[in-house]
Amino acid sequence: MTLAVCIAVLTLGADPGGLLAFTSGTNLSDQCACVLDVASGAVTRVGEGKDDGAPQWSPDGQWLAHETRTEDGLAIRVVKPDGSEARLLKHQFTSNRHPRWSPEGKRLLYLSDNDMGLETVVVVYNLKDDTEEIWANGHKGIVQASWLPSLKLMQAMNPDQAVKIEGLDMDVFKTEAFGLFGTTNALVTIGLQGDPGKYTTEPLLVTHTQAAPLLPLLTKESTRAAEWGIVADIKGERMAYESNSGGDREIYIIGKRGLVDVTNHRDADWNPVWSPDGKWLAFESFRGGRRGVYRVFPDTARVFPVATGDEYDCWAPTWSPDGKWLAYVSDLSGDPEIHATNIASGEVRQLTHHPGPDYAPAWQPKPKPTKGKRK
Amino acid sequence: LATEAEADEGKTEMTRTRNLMILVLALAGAAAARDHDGALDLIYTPNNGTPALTARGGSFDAVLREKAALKLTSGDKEYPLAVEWSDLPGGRQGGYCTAPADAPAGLYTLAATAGDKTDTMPRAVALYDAFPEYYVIAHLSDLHIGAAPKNGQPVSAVVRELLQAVNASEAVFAIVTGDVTDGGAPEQFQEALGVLDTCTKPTFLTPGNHDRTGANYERYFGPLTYVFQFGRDGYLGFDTKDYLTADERTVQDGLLQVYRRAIKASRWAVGFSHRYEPGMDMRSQLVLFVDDPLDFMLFGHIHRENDEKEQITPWGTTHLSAVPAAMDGKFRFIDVTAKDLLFRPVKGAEKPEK
Repeated sequence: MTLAVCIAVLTLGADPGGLLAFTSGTNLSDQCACVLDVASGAVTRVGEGKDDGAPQWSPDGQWLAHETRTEDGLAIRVVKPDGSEARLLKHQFTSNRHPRWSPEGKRLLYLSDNDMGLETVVVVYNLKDDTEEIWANGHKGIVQASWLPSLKLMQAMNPDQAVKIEGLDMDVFKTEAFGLFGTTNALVTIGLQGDPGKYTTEPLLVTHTQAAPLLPLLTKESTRAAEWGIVADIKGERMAYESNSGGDREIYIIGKRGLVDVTNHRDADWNPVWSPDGKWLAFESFRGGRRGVYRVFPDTARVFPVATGDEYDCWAPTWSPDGKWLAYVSDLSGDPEIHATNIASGEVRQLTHHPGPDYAPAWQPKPKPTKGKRK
Repeated sequence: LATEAEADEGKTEMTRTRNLMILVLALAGAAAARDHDGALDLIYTPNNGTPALTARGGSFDAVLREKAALKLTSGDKEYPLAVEWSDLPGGRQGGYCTAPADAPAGLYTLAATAGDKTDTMPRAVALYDAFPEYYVIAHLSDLHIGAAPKNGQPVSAVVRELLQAVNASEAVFAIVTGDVTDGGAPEQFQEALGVLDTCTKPTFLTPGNHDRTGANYERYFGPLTYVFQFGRDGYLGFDTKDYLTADERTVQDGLLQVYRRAIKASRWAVGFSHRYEPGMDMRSQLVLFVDDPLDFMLFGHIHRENDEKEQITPWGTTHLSAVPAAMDGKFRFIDVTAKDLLFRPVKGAEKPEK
């Protein structure tokens, strides 16, 4: 009884807050990047409603980047969360998608090509001087990419460079990957492997001039499976990715202890998302029959359901900056809307109530204190 | 004696009059069922774009706006259905329907009555004595109902002729892979319904980019993604209108995983959609072509057959087959056998273009 009261008191007033970016429209073609004030429910349209893609917050939470349709294809647009200071990034390719902010928030990576095919290259855009650079030495077939926040994991995995990776010059990699002022110039990506007609995918380490497979550092049979959804935690100490190794799709962790399957189940598990403190992973799983949101503590591989249903789906999880809520899309009401579940109490809130579908929630990260203004 | 030109003109006029009468009758039929403008009303599924196939005395799922008394009708025969209801998201009702054992094999109208409202859905349920090991299906695509006449003939008349060929064949059902209409307008969907209802076989539709200029496809035919079983074979219909967007946002990716798993044990797993692009949403590609590759994928969109280099996905395994546009008077029969799917030469391809 006392415990219940304590829990009730602790959960009282634990309303979700902050800003949450998402897309909204009557169908996919008119999806518009929007920002929701979670506490008040006020929504600000910050996109142009031209097939806007999933918005991505800059690490300081002051900017959003999203793809949007233009006359010549798809371009990347950056905008403030109040809709101001919007600009399209200059681009040499007609199709530009999947923007991701660099850890220091001054660059964006995205994938580009001219025919919306599989032979995409990874491009890094410097927001300060408005320049585009093709990375990975122009390696084609990079189909997903994210930044590597630090090289801690790399150093732990291969401290004495005992393992050589074909195609990777470790000296050049280290020289390029270490940036100024603690930044890194390294990406972890998913690239096509093999020839057309026999393609599979594999994780690649990428710098400006280097692109080399990552898994040979950990396993001999690194090309049998198709990997996807690779993402490093905020400190760059662990990486999560999904792989169909073993038959169905599972989520694996690369850490100091090597390679571990943390979601082992006969149904597919995919789309890992690190919690802000890097201790938990949210992911989507079909272990309940439909697509649901779950979380796992990777150190023990213990899995907890977050949002599941027999007759509806829940997907696209995003953590609140304090790690206490998970927002996601659910068609519980018959129409995809943004919902949030309190991790501790299981309380569910419907955050959006639009007649059309709402997709791709992204909770604003906690802004870091600015130097010199701290009292 | 009338001159040859006068005779031709007379034939053309007769054809016009016949087409107009068929259109009027079809529109009247469409308006009697469904909503006032022919859109889905009380019955969501099964419908004449997403029919239910089951054995005599077997079961199928229905989705309705509200609970209703359901029956199968054919001519003056009526067969009430036993229904177990369940609540579905969005306030809809799911009905687990069991067909009476005395209903003979055939294609039925599904009738639903709730209060003073009765909705009838022609060609919605097909009952079979048995599902054969060998059978034939028809693959049509790119009807573009509502487009400008082709070679002086209304597109709807061209398609109707193809459906008559399907009716006269041994095909057990027809798959129509999108661009049913030319512009996605309600009146084009109404006309398409009239044309499709001249088919005496079940017709399974998927939307095309021309159908999804708005949300009318969903209003007229319901689900964009679905699965059905014919005997030991599984068929998965899905939407590819939005695949040229990189983000994996919609509910479809999850449904594809669920449906692909549902037909995993099938003899053949056949996907059908409007288009195939190597750059389509990667999650869908992983589900359909990498993790549990479909055996076959039927599509249209390109208004031609796929060439030798386009016979298989870049991931391998899944065989691709595109059919030229029905609006050009072309379609294909496919023999489904225990050993393979045999793609017959495109029907109508032998006719020279005018």
